[in-house]
Amino acid sequence: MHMAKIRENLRRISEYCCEIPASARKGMRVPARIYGDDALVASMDEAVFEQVANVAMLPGIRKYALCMPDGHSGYGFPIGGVAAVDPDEGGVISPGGIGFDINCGIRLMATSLTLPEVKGEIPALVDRLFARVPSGVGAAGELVLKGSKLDDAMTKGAGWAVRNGYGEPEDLEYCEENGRVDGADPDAVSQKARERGKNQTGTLGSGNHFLEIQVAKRSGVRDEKTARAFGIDRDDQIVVMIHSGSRATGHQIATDYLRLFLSVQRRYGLDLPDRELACAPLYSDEGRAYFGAMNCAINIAFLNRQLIMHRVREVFAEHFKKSPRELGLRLVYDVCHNTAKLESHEIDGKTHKLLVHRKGATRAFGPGMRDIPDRYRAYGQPVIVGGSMESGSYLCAGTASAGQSFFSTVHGSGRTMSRTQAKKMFNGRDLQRGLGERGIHIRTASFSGLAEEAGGAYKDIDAVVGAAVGAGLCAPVARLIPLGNVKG
Amino acid sequence: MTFRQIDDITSADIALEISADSDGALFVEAGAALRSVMLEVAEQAPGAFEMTFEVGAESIEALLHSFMDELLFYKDSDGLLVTPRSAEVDCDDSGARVRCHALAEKIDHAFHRFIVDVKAVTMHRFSVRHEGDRWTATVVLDV
Repeated sequence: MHMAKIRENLRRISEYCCEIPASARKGMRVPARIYGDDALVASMDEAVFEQVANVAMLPGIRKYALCMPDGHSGYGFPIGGVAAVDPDEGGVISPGGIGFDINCGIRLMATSLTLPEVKGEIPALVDRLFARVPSGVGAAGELVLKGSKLDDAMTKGAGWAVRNGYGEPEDLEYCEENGRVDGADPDAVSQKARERGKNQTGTLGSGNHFLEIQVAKRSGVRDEKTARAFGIDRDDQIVVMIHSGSRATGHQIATDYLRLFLSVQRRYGLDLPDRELACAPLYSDEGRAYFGAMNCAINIAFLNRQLIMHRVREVFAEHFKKSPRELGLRLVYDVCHNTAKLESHEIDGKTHKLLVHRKGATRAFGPGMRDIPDRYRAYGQPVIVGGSMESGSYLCAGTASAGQSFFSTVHGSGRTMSRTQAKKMFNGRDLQRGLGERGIHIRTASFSGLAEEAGGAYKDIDAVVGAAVGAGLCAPVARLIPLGNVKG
Repeated sequence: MTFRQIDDITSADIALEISADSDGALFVEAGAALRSVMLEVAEQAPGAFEMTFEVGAESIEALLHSFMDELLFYKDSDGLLVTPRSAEVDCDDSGARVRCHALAEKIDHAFHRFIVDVKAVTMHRFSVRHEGDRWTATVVLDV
């Protein structure tokens, strides 16, 4: 039987949001909402709409299956997918709603340096970072985490790093969840996952992972008061962005539980159209075990980004022959992209404890909400949107109106082009040369990989953030321009 | 080469169609496809050594998934690129097993030029089909 394209059911409900009604396909429990203006939604491939409609079939899902303006096709959920399920109503947890790179995320560091002070230093600084921060396939970190040491790291996250001399106690205050989630259960992590990731903490990885030196130009500051509160407080200020995740530990945990859920889901009467949506009720033995293991991976990712930030501090201190404190190297914030977290959200005037899956989406708590550092609470949670190495990135803030998306917003630009197409279109070495001529110094572990990550393979970051802002999912604070990039 | 990248399944990841004239050859080709996604050059590094490993699962489809996952495990845990040379597959009512003879190379950044890392073998559109004398698999890799 021919199944009509789900996209044909799309109807625009506001300037920045479209909806697929729950009646569009058998099995959808709630409508699907896709954020974006006409151009962004038109640029999304058919699979995005299929995948978000599939997400709407998850047991226990509340209100809507959502796709952010940077949405593009993935597996299970689209990248940019958000779903909140009620565990008390049989709500499920699905590894396909989180991704294999559990707690892939971004942290942003401020410095007291300005562009005139570093302009001639960028190539040397990037070269030093490339030498000191392991990146690419097969790169090993300086730490080997095994046995009880690994158990400790999996439960303490970034705090483990700080306690062992890799950072400052105040760093933890400026991480989502203070750099560690509760509920990590090392006993739920397989020996294979422990073994596979043992050498990888403190490494950047590959693909779209990066470490970037950027400048917040005065002309790019959209909200001076909030920027100042977040630590962007001088003209042409230098900042550093780190994008990485839980590395092979997280990849194996996701693989292990995907297989387990596929083998048990029928026992729970679950049969979803994509096997990558394999799931189990959160309140089941298997669901709880995955939640415990996933939380371990979330903590390992916080730890990973903390270790990388520590190396960045060391490199800057060596290069400028000043202490990290003298250089003002402080953490602005660390956000997660790929998680499922238990959060309290209001639906129809009542507060519910929901499991919010975000896959390629950022939590964006609004002003005054708990779990935002005291210093930022009046302004909303910092939201860091990582763009391509060519076009730049954004610092934004959470808004009260993001309640419509369970306080979720965009995480990056979002791809418009497959990796194969990008490699046909761009040449890594030419790209490096061209960017160098524009003052953006690139070091990479792979020129083919660099071509796949060309700016032209991504959506226009200004349009993506513009749509998120237009929809009320976040507010812009500052645009960040790349100066130098270490590409994994 | 009996594998090709499919462009219209996913924009963020890499989809492959792999085919061979026997089940064992399909596993060998799947290993070659994985290598070609990750590496720019096909040549083996000096010092490659022979190894044998076995994987079991409940069906041939689950077996191919576990087999490819095992190759990723060697890459990350031991820093080894394992390239299958031959594979014997046994399937019966109790499940499926593969015994693989392979060449293993230590990752050497002076020799190996990587394109991208593969994080996982997804279950999205994952399938193994046996039609006539052809075995075909569709695999989406998370990169």
